Amino acid sequence: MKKLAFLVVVMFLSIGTIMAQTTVSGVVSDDSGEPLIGASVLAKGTTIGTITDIDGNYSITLPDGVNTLVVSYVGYNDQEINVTTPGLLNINLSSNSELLDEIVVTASGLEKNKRAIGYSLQNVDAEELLDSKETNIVNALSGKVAGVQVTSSAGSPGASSSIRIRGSVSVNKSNQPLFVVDGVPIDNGSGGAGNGTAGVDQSNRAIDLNPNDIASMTVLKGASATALYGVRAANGAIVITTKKGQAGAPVVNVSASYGTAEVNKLSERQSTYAQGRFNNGVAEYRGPETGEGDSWGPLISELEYDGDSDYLFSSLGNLVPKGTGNGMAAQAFDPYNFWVTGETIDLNASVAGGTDAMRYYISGGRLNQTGVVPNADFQRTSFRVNLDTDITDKLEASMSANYINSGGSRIQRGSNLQGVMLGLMRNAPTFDIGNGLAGQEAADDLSSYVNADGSQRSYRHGIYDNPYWTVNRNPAHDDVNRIIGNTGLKYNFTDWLYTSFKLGIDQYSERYLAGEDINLLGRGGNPGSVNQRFAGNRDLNSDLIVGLNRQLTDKFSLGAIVGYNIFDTRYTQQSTQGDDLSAPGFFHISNATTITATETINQKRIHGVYSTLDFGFDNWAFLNLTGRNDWSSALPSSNNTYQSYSASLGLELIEALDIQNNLLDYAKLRASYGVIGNDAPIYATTNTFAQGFAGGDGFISGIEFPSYGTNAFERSTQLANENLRPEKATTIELGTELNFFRGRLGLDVTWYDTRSEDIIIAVQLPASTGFTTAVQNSGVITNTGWEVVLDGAPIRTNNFSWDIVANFTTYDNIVEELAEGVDNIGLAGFTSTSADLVPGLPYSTIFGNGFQRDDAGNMIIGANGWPLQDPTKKALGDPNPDYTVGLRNTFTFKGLSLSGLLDFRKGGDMWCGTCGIINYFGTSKISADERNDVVIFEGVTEEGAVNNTPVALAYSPTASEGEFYRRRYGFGGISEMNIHDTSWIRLRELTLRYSLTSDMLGKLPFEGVGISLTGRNLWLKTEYPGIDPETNLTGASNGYGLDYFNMPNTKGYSATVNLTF
Amino acid sequence: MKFKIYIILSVFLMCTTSCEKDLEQLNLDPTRVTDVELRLMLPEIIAQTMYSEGATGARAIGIIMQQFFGLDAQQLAYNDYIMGEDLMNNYWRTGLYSGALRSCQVMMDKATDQEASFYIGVGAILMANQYGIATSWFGDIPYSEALKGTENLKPAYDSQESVYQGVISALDGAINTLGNATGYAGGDLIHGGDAAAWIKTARGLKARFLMHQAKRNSGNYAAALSEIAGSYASIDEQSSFTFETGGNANYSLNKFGQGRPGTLGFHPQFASMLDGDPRADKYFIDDGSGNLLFYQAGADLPYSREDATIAMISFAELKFMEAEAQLQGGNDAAASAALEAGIMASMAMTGTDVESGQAYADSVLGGTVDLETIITEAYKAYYGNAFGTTWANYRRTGFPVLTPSSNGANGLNPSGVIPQRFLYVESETTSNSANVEAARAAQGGGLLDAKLWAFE
Repeated sequence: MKKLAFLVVVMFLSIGTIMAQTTVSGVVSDDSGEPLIGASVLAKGTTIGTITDIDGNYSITLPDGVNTLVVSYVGYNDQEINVTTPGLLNINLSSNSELLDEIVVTASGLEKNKRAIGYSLQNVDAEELLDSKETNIVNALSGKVAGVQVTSSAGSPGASSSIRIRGSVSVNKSNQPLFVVDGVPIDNGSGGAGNGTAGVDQSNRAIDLNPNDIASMTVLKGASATALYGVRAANGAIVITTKKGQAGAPVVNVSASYGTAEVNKLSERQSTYAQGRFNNGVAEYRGPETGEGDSWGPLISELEYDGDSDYLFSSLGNLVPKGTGNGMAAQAFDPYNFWVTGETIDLNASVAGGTDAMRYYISGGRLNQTGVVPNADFQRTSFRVNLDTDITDKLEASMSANYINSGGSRIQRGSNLQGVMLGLMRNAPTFDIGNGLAGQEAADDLSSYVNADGSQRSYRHGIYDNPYWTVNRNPAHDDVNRIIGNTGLKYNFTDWLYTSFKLGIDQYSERYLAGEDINLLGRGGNPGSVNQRFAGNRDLNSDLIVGLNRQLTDKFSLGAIVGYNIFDTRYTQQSTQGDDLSAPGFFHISNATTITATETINQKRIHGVYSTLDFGFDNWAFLNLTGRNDWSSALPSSNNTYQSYSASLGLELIEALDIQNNLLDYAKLRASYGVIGNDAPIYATTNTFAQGFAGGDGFISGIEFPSYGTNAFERSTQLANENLRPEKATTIELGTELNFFRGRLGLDVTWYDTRSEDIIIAVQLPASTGFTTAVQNSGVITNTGWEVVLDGAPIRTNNFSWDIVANFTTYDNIVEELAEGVDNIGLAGFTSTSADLVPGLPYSTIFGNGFQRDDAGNMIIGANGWPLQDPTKKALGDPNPDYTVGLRNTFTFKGLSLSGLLDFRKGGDMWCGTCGIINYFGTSKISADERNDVVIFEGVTEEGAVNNTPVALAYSPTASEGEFYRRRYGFGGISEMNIHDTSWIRLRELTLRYSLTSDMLGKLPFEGVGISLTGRNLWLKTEYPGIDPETNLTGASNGYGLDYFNMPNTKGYSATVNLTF
Repeated sequence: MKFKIYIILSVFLMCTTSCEKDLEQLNLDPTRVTDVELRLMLPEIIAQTMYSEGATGARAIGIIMQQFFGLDAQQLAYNDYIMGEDLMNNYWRTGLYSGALRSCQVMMDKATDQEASFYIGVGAILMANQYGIATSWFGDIPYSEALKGTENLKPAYDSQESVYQGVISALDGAINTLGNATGYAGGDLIHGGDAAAWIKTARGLKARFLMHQAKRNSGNYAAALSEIAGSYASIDEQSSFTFETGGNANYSLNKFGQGRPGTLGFHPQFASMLDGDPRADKYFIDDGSGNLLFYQAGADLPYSREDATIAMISFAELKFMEAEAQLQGGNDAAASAALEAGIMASMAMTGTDVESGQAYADSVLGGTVDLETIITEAYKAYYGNAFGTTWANYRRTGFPVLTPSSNGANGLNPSGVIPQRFLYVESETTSNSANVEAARAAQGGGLLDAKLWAFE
């Protein structure tokens, strides 16, 4: 059989002229006699070598003193051949199927050969995680795994990131996967509050994991892969294995990394028009003292300074029409000089080693990160000890302890008068937020944000906080102390039967302190507040297992496990809100005049009994059966048990049919079926009374009791349900793994179909029932998708290789049904625009105000030429991408490698609320570009005729602001005007790495030295008009597709030195 | 199934029955109670109803009625009647139905069980007032099928006429019940447990809602007069509620002024109407740069201060109703006397000194006293404390004469008139759509320019 000639032969030049040489030549072929193209032939112990040509021929001249050839080829065992005589030497290589093997960790916590698995999973190795230079382990997965979608909420230090595996299956429960570290599930919640539409960016707790401790990560995607975990892995699982020591001398590893970050994308702003308003055809400058927010004023070029040195907001004086001041021209300031370059320093050290009886891995790491916003930072300190010991021949013990301290200074963002982006983006071009200074220097100088009279210096005189005010006067700090640990004992009765017990604990305490300073002078309305929160979370997880592994006959193998699991979680949060501060700048509860304290306690326990059976036949047929029964405290006691189970089958055809050949050398078919049960949100089975609260107004706070000298209670507005049943998600998955050309080309294709039924939803009721929501089993959500992983090695020579890994993901995550009569369930957002569930439409559909349209979809235009607003809100966009592709190319030349990860995303909408607002205020570039435009809106009149009435978009001799296109539909425009496609191409990672090998290091006292340079997010191409569209206002919550003054994302460089000795 | 065998086997591993018992206990939220005394229910209801007097509805009506002027953000859009389904959504959900009305129902049910008639009667009054205000804002609303939980998850909308009938008869029932009030145990933040005072309040509210329907039934003027006669004799008897300083318990208008600075201003046209009126200084502050502020931190403006005193229904409102009803009955002298008492009550509520108040009243009475005079004076007096009545008066009588926004025609308000109602809210259109559709159809489409039955 003729091999395909897709390989490019790169010649290696032997160096030097050496005397007394021996030349040999011949053909390298495989067991069946087929020539191998590009096999490496090397003179042992030298860098002299060659590779075989298209017919498998080689010729090599051995230097003096060398008489051994090393012949190697991917997928075959290396062979060393002693050369005794010059001349012809034909070489046969035997295939090595082991090289195709990949060890993965499955839900049972056992390492398995990927060959033996009948469902889809994907490994991410440690190097790939580290190379991404992401603080948050979740972000490090971005673009690397088919079926996995990672969205960071912001580029702020410590900000949460959402990870969804195969879309979403639940409504009121988190759709984040289960994180399992060394067999013990850990908490990846987003603290007590999570990201709301306002406040600061919270962390997701997986950020506490130090990527340097991770040996491997396996992503379990479907129900078959995770059924053994039961309810908690209904959304897949990320199974992490940390580094372990191996018997031998201590191996010490020290690494140091320095990185930078800067903002990678922002909305374009205008610099043509001044702050001011436009009424009856006249643009009038209205400065900060008016408190007005608009930038619809006159041309900046028509203004000049009056030179009044007493003017409160600028030493240059107030702005007046040209010719009436001191002649110094007005100018536009760029508020984007607010951003600074963030820095990250990450130091890590570890030592690993041990004896035959005891292995250890000990590590410490310290990460210091500053943000692109002045004064924003995040720190993480972690220590880890992993011990494995063989107490006797039969008894093994393991212990792992990981302590983490993390936290930092958070920045106010989102829909929040204190928000940095809100104050920055709305700021008028004529107002210099830094008062002559920029960045950190401005942040450190009181004159940029406080006026001489003590009032706040901002473009609306204290109505919106100057970003420099916020970073100084509205602090938010969190401090988390966390211990994740486990101890395990394993007793081997025989070499095939064992029992083990593992107890894991994940406990953290969080102290959060945030304040807003008193801002009552000028036009400020904030009497100041302080919020302190103490939270503690404790997850206990215990597993008792009996397992066996036995080769029953020559051909049959059996593995089995029976286990009992207890999971117990308790989260307690005490929050004290203090309002009306007395002394400015003193953020302590004693400084508050009004104090409100609340306590939240969330608790749940699940008992689970589970079993898994693995049958193997002749190393080509693999059947896996799993079953689990859970009893959950969150369900009514009469109906608190539910099952998860799966069956998967893997067939390797090459082995089965004995059809070894050189084109296709591995062909596995996978089929699996799995069902996962899911319990209810806690406390949903009983109606209760909560402390009284009077509200019903989205703009202002409510009345909290105790007040007026009494306490009060009110019945909850959620209608409890004592008849809840567990949810059920069923997945069918089919797939194949193919390897061509001796492993040079691999293809893994998976198709799956998930149907989630009886979903427990807090359904919105008509409030006229006396309840706003009812917890019900209702609704069906489906998800069907394709995942493809392609890997290839177009060039592989002794010294140079080119590897390609591509992953492709596409899915349709559709809400098929909600409860009867329920047309819409809100997940996140605002009353005007939200991320909702709507029957028949994709998960997290963007819902809001739109224009009236006729049956053909034409916009209906009123008699005055303006499109008409539809009184009823409607679905406006789908935030789910059509497909995503991650493409990694790696070029390796000797110790040098260059790797780039390109990330494509096609489709997926986002509501750019920021855009709508800055268009409304007239600070966006588009609001300036179109300011004098007259257009005819495409559409039909109410009578059905083609609209031909022209309208002035903004300025006209008769118009006032309220008639402008960007203002006439209300604040921020109509939602539909701000829905944008987020398709992107980005260079997510670019890493240049150089590893010095031992012989190169010579006398240096190192085993290995690695140096790497990484660029992160260096290039981004997208039509989205706002910040980098990889963002989400509400972080890791179930609703996505919303951007409302979100913090921008970042790009940066980093350099790492890694020493091993 | 294979796994079930293992489950059975594994029963040995655990005592499932005892575990289940433990499990059940864990699902009771330790931060909640399952039963609450009546005296701890009533304060939240009263606070909620009084909070709503100065919240979203009040601000939107203030803008519609040109007492407020939107300066920024959503409030600016309201100037041009961009008042969509989201405007009243929060109010409808957690202020009204699953707010005050829900709590009234829970309290009355428990009071019925405990035969505590005080709480039954007071609950009925508070509930009737909320329903009456809501129907004057939305027309047809859920009433007979409302607040029934699982018994009816899709409450139908009753006609405005029948809601008003229900309100009047509920007030009659409350007056009767409170004639023999039992079981008071605290929590009455308005009348301190005085059932007779509640009866007076009920009669005042009855007059209010009879007047709402006067255009439909001119007999209501006389009926209202007889209720007024049995209601408050002085401002001291009125159903006053005093908010507190501090961010937890301050008046809702104050909350808006504090929390949303620069978005809502005092309407210049209203300011010019107040030219020469001693209450002008109590209503707004001219900051000198052309801005009229309805709120300023620390300023002593009685209707935007933290600890404002607001009445559920004021003695002033009784007197203005009396003036109107007497005028309609042809008793001009009684009308003038009631008008004067109304103005003077308003002066007292705002803390205006009697002398300048009287001088102002004299100047009003010195001119013609017609319907426009009475309604316009009520318009001035109700600012900050009875926005709902101002809007109802306008839609009944057309006074004071207002010019709609020149940019006020839009998809929500096609004819561009001063809005006649609020739109039904988003949460109802998505969760009770068939009933909302029916209600819209029964009321001319239900957009902002569709007149309500009572005011047609």
